[in-house]
Amino acid sequence: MHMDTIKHIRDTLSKLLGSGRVEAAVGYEEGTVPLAARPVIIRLAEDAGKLVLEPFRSGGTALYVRRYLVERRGQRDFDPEKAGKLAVVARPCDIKAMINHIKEKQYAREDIYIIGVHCPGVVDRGKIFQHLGPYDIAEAAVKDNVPVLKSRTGKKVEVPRDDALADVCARCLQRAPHDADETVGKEVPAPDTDPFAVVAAHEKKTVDERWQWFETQMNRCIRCRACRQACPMCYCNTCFADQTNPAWIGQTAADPDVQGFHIGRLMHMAGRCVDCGLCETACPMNIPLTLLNRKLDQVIYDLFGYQSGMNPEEVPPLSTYNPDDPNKGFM
Amino acid sequence: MIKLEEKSMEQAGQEFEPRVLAILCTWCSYAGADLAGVGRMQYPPNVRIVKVPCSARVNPLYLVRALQEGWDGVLVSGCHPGDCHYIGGNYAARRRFSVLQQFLDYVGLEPGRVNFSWVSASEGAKFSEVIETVVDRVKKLGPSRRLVKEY
Repeated sequence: MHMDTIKHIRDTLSKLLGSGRVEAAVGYEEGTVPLAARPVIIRLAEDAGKLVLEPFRSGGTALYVRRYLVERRGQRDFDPEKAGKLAVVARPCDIKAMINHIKEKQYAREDIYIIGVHCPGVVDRGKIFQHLGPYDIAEAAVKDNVPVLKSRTGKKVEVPRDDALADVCARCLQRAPHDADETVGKEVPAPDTDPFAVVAAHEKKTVDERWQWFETQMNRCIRCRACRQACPMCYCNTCFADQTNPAWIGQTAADPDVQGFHIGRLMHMAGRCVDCGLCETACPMNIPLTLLNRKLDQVIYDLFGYQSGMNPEEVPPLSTYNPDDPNKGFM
Repeated sequence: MIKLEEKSMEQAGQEFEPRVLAILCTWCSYAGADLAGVGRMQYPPNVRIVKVPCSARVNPLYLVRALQEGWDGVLVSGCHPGDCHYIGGNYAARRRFSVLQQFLDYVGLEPGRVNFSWVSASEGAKFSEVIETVVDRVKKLGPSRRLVKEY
């Protein structure tokens, strides 16, 4: 990400907040350690200088937009006539999530002012740590799309771009903000890859091999629910996995409970997942969850021709039906 | 629970008899099953039937739960598309279960553990055939071990 982009964002937000056009803005600011930006909500024009466009994958803004607007509505002194807009610095995947929120009536398009950013992808921290451990990094930056690290001893390490790019981003076709009030950044060409190639590769394995993979990966899950907390589309007041009456899924970290949790959560994501990869980033055990999400995206696309988060007028596929749907799998 | 029976059957030297759960919609599939019964049509006794108002009532998590409880196979059956008593329930179920079936296959659950069919109230013979097919499939797959929760 160029310094110009960040400057452009800061200037825009400064103007928006100063003029009162927006009430607050959601973005990311420098965290306490290198490689970890943290979310921030600013209300004053002078705070706009805090914002950074973290090139290192830490999180998305759609999650906080939803929480802010929904909680604001719930406050006693909320007056819809006086409520201001919320500006948000959004990558295309954040925009997809927000369009889904709008479809699901969480808030209206008029409530937000989207500053869309052309996105070349973010850098995967796990991959960076392969080159320099997390406790050794004193400074980290991205210059001309190449991560440059400086260790505590002053050693400089440059990580090759292709080694550092997050897998989710490497296959992302949505590099341009498709719905934004303002667009910043330089246009990035979308890759020529098949977005479902990773699914096809996994399906070459036999059923037993796929089960082996699933069982092994799920065995590592510690049921921390970080994937659920990080996901912008996961926002039920009471998650199905936390219900005890009925107890759909056990609460423990035992294998069948974990498998049930992920199968259930991913079925709830069918047609809603925006492929932002935050679940995988948040997972402390580095479980490749996006491999599972991608399959659901592919099934939804093949069966119903639907892509999540693109058109706010489109009805989510599992909320509707068509008499001419395929009868695949029914006797 | 179910696994205890399996062990005693093994000890007795008996062939594996699968336990299949059939979730049938009241207005078509259950009536079709009833017709099969009234007509004295023979079908494998391995099936236990649960009646629901409509195939749309079936949450995909019921099937996951059934597999966790040790059911060797599950069948969900509803009215033919276009004939749903509640107009569009089976259309919704069709979408939901198409997605579930493909996802469970991807995750590595053997094809044939979860089955879906449309059986109308007049199709007693078809119901018998469907049960025969499902029980046969599940028998070949053997006892369910994936997703099973041992209490």
